Amino acid sequence: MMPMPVLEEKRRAALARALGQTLQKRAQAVAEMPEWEAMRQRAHDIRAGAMDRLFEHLDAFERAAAANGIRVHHAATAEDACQCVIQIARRLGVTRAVKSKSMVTEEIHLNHAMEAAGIRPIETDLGEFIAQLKGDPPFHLTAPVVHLTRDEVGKVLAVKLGVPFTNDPAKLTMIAREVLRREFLDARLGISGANFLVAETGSIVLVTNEGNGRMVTTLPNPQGPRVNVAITGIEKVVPTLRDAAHLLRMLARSSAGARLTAYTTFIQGPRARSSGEEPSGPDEVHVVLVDNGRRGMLRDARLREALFCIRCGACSNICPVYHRAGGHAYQSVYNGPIGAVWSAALWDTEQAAALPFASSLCGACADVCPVKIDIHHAMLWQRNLATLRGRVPAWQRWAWRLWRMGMERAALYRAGSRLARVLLPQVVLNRLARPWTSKRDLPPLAAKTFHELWKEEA
Amino acid sequence: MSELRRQFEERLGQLGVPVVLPAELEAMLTGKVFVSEHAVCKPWAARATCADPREADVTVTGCDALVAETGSVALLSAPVETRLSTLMAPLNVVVGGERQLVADMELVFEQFAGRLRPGAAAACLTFVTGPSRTTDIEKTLIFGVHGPKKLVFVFAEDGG
Repeated sequence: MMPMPVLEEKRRAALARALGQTLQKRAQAVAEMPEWEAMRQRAHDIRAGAMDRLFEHLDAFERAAAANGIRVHHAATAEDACQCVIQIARRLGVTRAVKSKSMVTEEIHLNHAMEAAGIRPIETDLGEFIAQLKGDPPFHLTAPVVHLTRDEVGKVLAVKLGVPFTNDPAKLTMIAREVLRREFLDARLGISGANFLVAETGSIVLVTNEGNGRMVTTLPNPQGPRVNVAITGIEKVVPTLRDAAHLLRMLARSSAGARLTAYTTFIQGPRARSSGEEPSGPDEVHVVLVDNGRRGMLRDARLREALFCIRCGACSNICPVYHRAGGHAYQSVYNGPIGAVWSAALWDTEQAAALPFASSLCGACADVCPVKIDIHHAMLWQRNLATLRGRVPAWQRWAWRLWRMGMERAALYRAGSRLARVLLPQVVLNRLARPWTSKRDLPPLAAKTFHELWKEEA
Repeated sequence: MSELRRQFEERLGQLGVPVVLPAELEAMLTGKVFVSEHAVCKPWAARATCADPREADVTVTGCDALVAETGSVALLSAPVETRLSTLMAPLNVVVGGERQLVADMELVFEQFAGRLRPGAAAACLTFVTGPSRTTDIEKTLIFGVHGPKKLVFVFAEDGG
C-alpha cells in the first residue's frame, strides 16, 4: 500500500476542534427531531428507490428538463465530461468561468482540463477559492480548508492577491467578496454541481450557504449571452420534489446542524420564458450527467448503497481515522469513510484499493449517516475485493503468508519470535515502517517473549 | 398571531433576521435603494434611487411564499426581478404577507405545482433562509460572503 502521510500534532488538535464543533451543532439539530431515526429510514428508502430504477428516473428527468429548455448531456467518462464543458466554453468564446463548489468537478479534474484548454476556472466558494490560490486539493467534503489556521489563510491571500496581511476572518472574507464579485459581474460561463436532480420536474437542485451557487447559476453580468452548466453524477436523481424536500432537511441538519441551507435553488431552465421576459438568469442551461464508474457500483449489491450518499461530510467529522490522518492523507478527491468507499469503487488502483483498509471498522460512520449507508461493511467487502483482485502488494501477501505459517506451528512461532529479537532491533523496525516512523519511533520488541516470561513465572 | 407566524418569526430570530414594522424600515433605506416591482413593495416605490440591483446598497423585494418550518422566503423567477434583488446588495429587505405563510417546503411545491410543471416551469425557485454566510475560516461564522450581509423581513400591512 502507499504510505499515508499523517497530520502534525498541532494541526490535529485544531482539526479535532473544528470537526467537534460541527458535530455538536449537528447533534443539536438532530435532538430537535424526535423522529430522526424514522427520517433517516425514509431518506434511505428514497435513495434506495431512486437507485433501484435509476435509469427510468434519469429518462424522466431528461424528458422534463428538455421540456423546460435544459440541454442534457451524457458523459461516460471523466474525459467526456471535461470535453463537454470545454466545447460549451469554446462555442461561447470565453476564456474564464466562475465555479461553485462541486465534488464531481474535482473527481473529473475539470480545472486541470480547462486550464489545458486555455480556459481559467475560478473557484468561488470561499474555502475552494483559498484552496485554489494555495494550490491544495480540498481537505473535506464540505469544508475545503478546515485544516488551515486563520494565519495561514491570511498569508495565502497576502501572497497570492497582494493585499496587506490580516488574520481577521471577517476582513479576509470581505477581501474575497470584493475579488469574486468582480469575477461574477464579468463572467458569462457559470459551472456548478447539483445536490439533487428531480425526475418529475426536471429540476436541478443546488444548495449554498455563501450564495456563490446562486451567483454562478444566475450570472449577474449585464452583457450576454450567459450560460450555466451543472455537472453531476447520475446517482443524484430523486423521483419527486417531496423526496428532494426530505433529503434537503437531512443534508442541512447532518452537514451543518442547520434547518435548511441559506440558499436552496431549484433551477428549471433558462430565463426569458413564454410567460414574459425575465430580467436576470442564464440564456442557456446545460446539465452534464457523469457516469465515470457509477454503473459498476450500481451492479455490485454490496457497493450500491454508497451511491445513496448526499455528501454531508458527517462521516468524516466523526471518523477516528479522519481525525488523526486528515483529508489529504487519503490522497484522493473523495476522502473520509464514504470517500474511501467511493475511491476504491471508482478507481481500480493499488492506492485507492488501500483506502478501505485505513479504517478501524468501528461503524461510527454508518451510525451518523443520514441516509443509513452501511459504510464500514462496504469497506470490509472492498478489502475482500482487493485481495481477490490482487490489489494487495506482494510484500504484504508474503508477510501474511509468513504470519500464517508461524501461527499454525508452535515451534516455528517460538523460533521466529526469538530470531526476530536478534534480527529486528528498533533501528531496523523503524526503517521498515517508514515513513510512518519519520515523526515517531516504533516501540522496541520486549527483551523476552511472552512464552519465556510465562515459563520463568511458573 | 397565528401559530405559523409565531414559528416563522421565531425561526427568523434564530437566523439573525429582524422582523421590522413598515414604519421602521424608513430609516434603513439609505444609499442607493432598489425597489422591486412586486405589488407589496408599492409603499416604498417612491424611495427607489437606483434601477439596477447590481449597484444597490439596499434592495426591497417581495416574495411568493413564507415557510414556517425553516424561516425561509420562497421566490419564483418572474418578469419582476427576484434573483438579483435578493442576492447582490449588502442589505436585503423582503416584504411578505401573513397570507403567504405555509408550514413546510412541500406545501410550496403543492401551491405552485402549475409553475413547476415541465414545459411551463418558472426558470428558478429559490428558498432564502437567512443572510449569506460562511464558516470556512476556522469555523468562524461570517455574514455577507457573496450575498446580503443582512436580511430584514417586513410583514405587509394589508396581509399581502
